[in-house]
Amino acid sequence: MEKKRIGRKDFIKTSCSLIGLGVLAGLAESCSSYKVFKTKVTDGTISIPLSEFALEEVRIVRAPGVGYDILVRKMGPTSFTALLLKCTHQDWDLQVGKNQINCTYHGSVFDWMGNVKTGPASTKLKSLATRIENESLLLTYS
Amino acid sequence: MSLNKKGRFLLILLLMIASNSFAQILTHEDSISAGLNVKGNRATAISGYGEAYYEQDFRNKLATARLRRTILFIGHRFNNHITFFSEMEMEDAVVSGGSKGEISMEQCFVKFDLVPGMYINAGLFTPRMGVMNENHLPNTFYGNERPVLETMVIPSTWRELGVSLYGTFPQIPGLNYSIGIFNGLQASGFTLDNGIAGGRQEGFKASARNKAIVGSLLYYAGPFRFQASGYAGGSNGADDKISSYAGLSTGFMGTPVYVGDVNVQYRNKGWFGKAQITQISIPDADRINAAFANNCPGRISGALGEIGYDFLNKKYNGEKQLHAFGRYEFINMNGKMPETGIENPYFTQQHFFAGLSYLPVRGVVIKADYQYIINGSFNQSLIINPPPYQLPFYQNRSFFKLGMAYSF
Repeated sequence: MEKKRIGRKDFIKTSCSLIGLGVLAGLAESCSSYKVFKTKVTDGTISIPLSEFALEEVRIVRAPGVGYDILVRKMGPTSFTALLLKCTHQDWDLQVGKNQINCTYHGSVFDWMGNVKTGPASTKLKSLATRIENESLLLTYS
Repeated sequence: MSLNKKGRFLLILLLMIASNSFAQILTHEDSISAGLNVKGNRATAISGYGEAYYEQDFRNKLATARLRRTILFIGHRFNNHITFFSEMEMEDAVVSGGSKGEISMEQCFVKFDLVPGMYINAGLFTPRMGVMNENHLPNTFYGNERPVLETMVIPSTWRELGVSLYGTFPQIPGLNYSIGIFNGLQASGFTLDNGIAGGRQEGFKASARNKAIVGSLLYYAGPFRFQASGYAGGSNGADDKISSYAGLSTGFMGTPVYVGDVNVQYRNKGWFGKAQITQISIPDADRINAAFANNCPGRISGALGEIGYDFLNKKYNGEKQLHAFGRYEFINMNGKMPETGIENPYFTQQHFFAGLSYLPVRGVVIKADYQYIINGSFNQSLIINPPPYQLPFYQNRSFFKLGMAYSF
């Protein structure tokens, strides 16, 4: 029987080239970082000065006792969204990337509105209610 | 069947007790935290996954039906920082006297959250090595079986006892790391056909004098996910005297094994792509063969390329999905055979896959896939006692699988 030729080297070479191109494209795309605002929970409420959003529309809010970061995004002059960065599959911490939120454990992906893009998670991220009082953005955490 | 008054009373009493017992247990389809209000911050959750399929072997004109695996997940959140996870796995439905099914703990560990983005896992768990080791839920990969690369080369799910630190680099969003120490492998279980799979200890009275360091970098960049993982560990934990007789080094990195894996995934607008390369190096394979006569290879390697598209992505945005996919895999189990081993070209294989996955909801998938295998010839010198009648040997085979899987 004729021996089959296996192009292992060609396959590996092509794969490496593709991976290299992908890495370069990815690095070029995501060089930004989101600033962390540290605060605390008082009577189930997290307060963030509106001035935090004067120059940038996104903040990662970190408050002891919550256990997870919160992604807060300014949608308009008085409109904000706040998502708890806890995977709805098995509670893993989530990573905020460009246009999406990733779970490093089982691979779930969410969009910035908290909707599931890729499983295994099947329910959207928990949203925190937002309101504005006295030049502060208040998030209700319960 | 009718119940008398006493019977009805006992039935109602049992139902009341049962409902009261389950009031503390969540069967919500997601998340341990679904019930943080159950008892302060504490909550218990039950979930699981499973997969079954029908397989048609066209070459041998055979067919098989398997309940491949069922997994019961039980988790408990003690507070906002400490959580217990466990997965009990049953393979092939029945475990009894003559059957070959298997029950094992796939994972059993406690997660300690240190600060947001940083945590420690301790116990029996799957380190970040390859893709399937962590992301093996059946509704997240194509095909009824896990990729051949992550079965024959990386023996997923590859779990060992250990401690691992996971975290992120705050200065570089999307870049994650993990570094952990585990018990090592057992060289006596290495073989040409199963690679290092037989050397896993999986928490069963594991020899831990030999240890392993496992590290990874994981980077999310837009629709890309890049991962590089490395493993360096000893595969002999026997005492000095026995090791000396066997001619093997022992201790922390005694009789070392090295594993390296690089993979990239792309996911965007219904498209999915994946490329992966893995290599295992066993520098002391010659001495392992001299000690155990197990035909251990010195090098094992594999590569994979996969592409898929979800035709329902625009209409349902992932709520319902219909994927078509194709995958190519190259596996070489005897990349470098030592003088004490016997090469078997049969285990140099190419696998071609094409198939469909339909998810009527995110947690349920119906899969159909066709697999075509090209393998090298069989080394006749491996037949020690030639049978009077030898079955024909084929260098290509094909299979069709139709199955269902769930994860909740």
